[in-house]
Amino acid sequence: MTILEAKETGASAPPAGKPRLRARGGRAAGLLRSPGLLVAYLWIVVILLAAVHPGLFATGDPLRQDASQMLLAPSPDHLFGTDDFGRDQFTRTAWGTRLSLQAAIIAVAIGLVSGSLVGLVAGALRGRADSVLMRVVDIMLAVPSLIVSLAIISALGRGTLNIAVAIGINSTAGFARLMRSEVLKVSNAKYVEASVFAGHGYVRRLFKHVVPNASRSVLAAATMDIGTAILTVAALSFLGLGAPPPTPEWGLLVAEGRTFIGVQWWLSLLPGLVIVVTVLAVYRVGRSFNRGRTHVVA
Amino acid sequence: MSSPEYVPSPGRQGKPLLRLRDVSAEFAVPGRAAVPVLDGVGLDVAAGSILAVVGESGSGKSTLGRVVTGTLPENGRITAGEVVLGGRTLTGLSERQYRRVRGKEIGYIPQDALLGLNPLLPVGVQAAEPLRAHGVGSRAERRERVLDLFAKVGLRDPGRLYGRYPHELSGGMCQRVLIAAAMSTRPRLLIADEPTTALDVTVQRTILDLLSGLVESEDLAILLITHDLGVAAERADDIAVVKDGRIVRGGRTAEVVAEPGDPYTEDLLRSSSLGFSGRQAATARLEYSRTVPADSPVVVEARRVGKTFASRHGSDPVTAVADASFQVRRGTTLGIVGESGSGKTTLVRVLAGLTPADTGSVEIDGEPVVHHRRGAGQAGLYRKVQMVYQDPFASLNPRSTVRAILDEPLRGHRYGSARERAGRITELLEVTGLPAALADRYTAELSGGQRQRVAIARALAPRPDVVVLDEPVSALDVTVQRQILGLLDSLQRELGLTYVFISHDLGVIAEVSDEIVVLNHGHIVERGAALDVLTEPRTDYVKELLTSIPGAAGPGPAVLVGPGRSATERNT
Amino acid sequence: MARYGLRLLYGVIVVWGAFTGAFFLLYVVPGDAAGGLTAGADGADVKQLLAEQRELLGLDRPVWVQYWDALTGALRGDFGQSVYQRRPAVEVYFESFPETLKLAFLGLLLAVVLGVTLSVVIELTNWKWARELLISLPPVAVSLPPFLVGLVLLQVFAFQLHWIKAVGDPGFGGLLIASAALAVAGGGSISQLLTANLRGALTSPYVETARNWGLSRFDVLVRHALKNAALPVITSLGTTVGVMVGGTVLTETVFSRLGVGRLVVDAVDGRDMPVVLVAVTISAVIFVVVNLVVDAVHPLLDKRISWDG
Repeated sequence: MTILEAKETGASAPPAGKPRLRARGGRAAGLLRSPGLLVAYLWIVVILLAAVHPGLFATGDPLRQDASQMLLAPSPDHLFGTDDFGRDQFTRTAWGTRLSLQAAIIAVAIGLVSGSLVGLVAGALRGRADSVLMRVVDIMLAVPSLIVSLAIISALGRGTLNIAVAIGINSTAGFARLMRSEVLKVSNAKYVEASVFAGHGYVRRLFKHVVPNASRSVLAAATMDIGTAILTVAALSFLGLGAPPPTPEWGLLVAEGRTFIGVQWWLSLLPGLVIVVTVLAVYRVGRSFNRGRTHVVA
Repeated sequence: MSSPEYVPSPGRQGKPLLRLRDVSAEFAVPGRAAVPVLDGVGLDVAAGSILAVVGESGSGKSTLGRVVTGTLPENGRITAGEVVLGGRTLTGLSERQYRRVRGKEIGYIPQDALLGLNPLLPVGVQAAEPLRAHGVGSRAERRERVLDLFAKVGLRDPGRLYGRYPHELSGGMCQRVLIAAAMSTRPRLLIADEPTTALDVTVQRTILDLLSGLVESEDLAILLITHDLGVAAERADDIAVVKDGRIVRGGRTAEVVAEPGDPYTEDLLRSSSLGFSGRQAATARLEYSRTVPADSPVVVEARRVGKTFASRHGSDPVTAVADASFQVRRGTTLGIVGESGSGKTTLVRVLAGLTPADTGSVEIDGEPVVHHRRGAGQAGLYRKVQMVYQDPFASLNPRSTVRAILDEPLRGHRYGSARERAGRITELLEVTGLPAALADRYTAELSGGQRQRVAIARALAPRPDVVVLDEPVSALDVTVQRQILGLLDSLQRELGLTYVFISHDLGVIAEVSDEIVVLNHGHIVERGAALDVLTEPRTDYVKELLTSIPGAAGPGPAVLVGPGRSATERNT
Repeated sequence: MARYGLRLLYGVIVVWGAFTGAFFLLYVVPGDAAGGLTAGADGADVKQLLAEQRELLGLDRPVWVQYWDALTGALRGDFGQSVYQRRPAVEVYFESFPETLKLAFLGLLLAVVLGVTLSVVIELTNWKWARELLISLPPVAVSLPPFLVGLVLLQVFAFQLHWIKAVGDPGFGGLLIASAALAVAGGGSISQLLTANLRGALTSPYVETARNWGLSRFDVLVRHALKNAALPVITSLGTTVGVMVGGTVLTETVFSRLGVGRLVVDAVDGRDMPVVLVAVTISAVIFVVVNLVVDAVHPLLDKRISWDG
């Protein structure tokens, strides 16, 4: 799952003399005008709290089995019902947040750091180094990301951390390409060319003008990518390649409930809904960072 | 509010074709009060005449056109007044009703011809779109009519052109296609929004000639929206000057030009090329030229500079600059003028060491200019040469403060301690006429004129000998242009600067240059003292350039005739 | 045509790169495939068994020799024996291939139709709240995990409506529902890209011109804006197909369909490296072929581009 391109759709600078229509008042005022964004932020706060301290939301033990409470429908006692071992599905979902979120964040961090470095090197050096690096990136992007992740996992073995590493390696290509194109674009900006007249060396100019401006887009893209990573982590866990069964993890919960989809559909769909809402919230927040650009997430 | 200055003209046939009565419009801005863009505008356009709406950016002149065509953006609305076309009130029409007027009774010509056509459709098909939209004729008949019109608007070989795509045509040809499209439904009114701004002056002239011709032959009315009072005065029967959404001066062109009566209109008049005279401009400049000692040393020397670009995918390489040689003496200005594609940009980049030359060499203060892709080893060069770019919105980092921008070259060129640098920044702001309070503002908060002053201040920071000015006023409004040109002039006098001034605008070049180089297709076609080039041009090309300056010559009514215009100019 | 020839060469390099990358990833990083085979065994004979297997699979030779053999083998269409099925991996792979091809193709078709229709409807909708609602759909579609969409569809169509069988329905109904599950994310991402491009195209000067010619909103959208906005969607088709191919992995698991996707998951699970290697290589081939087709078609749609440059 990669960001294929970042494109400026809005003019970056208002034309000379036009009355500037940009509203002032900063992010806080923007939040109030956009209730959807506010809700998205609130949900992310809830999810982060659940990841750090699941006990805040579910006091029970996610692993505690109870033969007398098997496959119960959702009720005030068991918000998401209970599974075939009588475990409370809501508790398991709350406790599963940590692992799912951790994996997604590790994945994006790996992709962001390594991808940005590769992209920066390619964009700054240009020439042969650039061609070689970009050909490698092209090759990585040629194979569907899920297949690449699967191949990496077959090499590394199962486990949530390995999933995160696989997704991270895989998203390196997308970040590298984005960073490179941003570096090239910013380098072509007149103000970067103009800075040569100030008499500084190339590296200083690179880090003073190019890197800060280029990394803004890449960081904004990374927020979107966290959403994509949550989806991929869940997908790979769903396939049984993540943590082993009793461990609470979002994708695994959906997979475990699959057997009962005909009757006890809530076992799969309610944890699934939590994934959906979380990803939506992350995308919504990501989009607010990406105003004026279109990030094509595939 | 109505505009007392504007007396509607009776026109040739008594009743006006288009009438705007007290029209006000505003744009809604989320979370804030709506911004008024038009305020009680009233004007008449008679059939068979041109009315020019003249204003700078942000004046509301384009909105005026949109009010007539009914294409205000979603957040815009007309709050008062009415628009009447041939007795029919257009304001308040439904979108469906308006669609029958648009493209049928009102033709429209956009600003940038190359962008104004769909890149994926053949131009012939596009020119027939208005006919198709209004259900006129069969497919074959529409094609016939378009071919006919192509010939009429001066496009050669219409049959072959019909299936061509916009990217295969020049800007001038695209504009002709758009005029043909607009005329296809025989509209009575044409809205032309800056129809020639994106074109070279010589092409601009032919397009304006075509439009003037259509007014005569088709009894067409044109609402000409332009920022250039020169164009307006030369072509229009009536003029309405717009500022901040109001008509500040309106009337017959001759009257407005002769008696502006309004300070803003006067300002515009003074800033325009209206009444341009090469001799006058060069003579005025000569006062300064004479103060430069004759034995002033040569600081810029270009010897047979040549640069060729490999064209994409195998076709013939393009010669950007061929065999260019010239010298600039200390304290003087060399003006380099040329149209788009003349190679002036390449030449200036070679001069500043931003692009390597294929052949020849450039020396500044006796040191050869070298090029390095990453600018390595060029710090010494940039202590002597600095550059000011065309677009001050692009050439300043939007995320830097003015202070940071000015501090950068001071650090880079090792200009003393922090305190000395701070002192120098204050000094730079002062000489460029910027208030000291601006130092800690971000450039995104500044106006175009202020930004260009910052760019100039940055160029002056390391106390260079030579400043290369690449179209330094082209992106600015005319009145701001005037101020920046004034600033550059006084800086040259005070600091003894040497300028290499590049522009597409011969009017500007004439005013600032001691010597002039004229480039055409990469070749220097003329070179010499400004007065000589401007008053006794040796080549037809330069003569054409001179007559193409709007308002400088030609048949427009009531043009202020400069005293020194030579016979050659008038005849070409 | 010269440019096209270069593209072809470039495609070959991409496939070679994917093969090589996958080979080293699968055969060098984890030790070797023999480990997977002996995973179940224990006791003293594990070492013995491992050594036998290694010799049998040729894993005791130097890496470069192994690589060379694998590469020349692959060129002949021989990717080695599937460790579990004891048959050529290529044979195993292509047995399941038609099933997946049908699924991915129908999924792509649905995704394109859904995505394009949604974008056009968004632009033609006047009603403000309806428009807002429609605009929010593509991001939602992209946020839906494909396996969850599959489960919901399965629940509704198999268990509530009984239109299809819950396990590996062989009929067209089963195929359609499965490809619909696959199409949701793809359609959402096509629609997102197209809507953004349409927004850009609709504010461009040539659309302004067309509007001023008196064209209706529909004509402006379809005759002028849509084609321009669709070009980037078409050029990114290779990636969209990749998303489809990746998505089949999940869809086939959910609907218990025996396709390549399932095969790959099982192979990864059992570390059946030859099968994984085939899957990676063929995915790259598909990507390259789709892009070559797009490259061939692109100049016909956009005259600014030509095969010669």
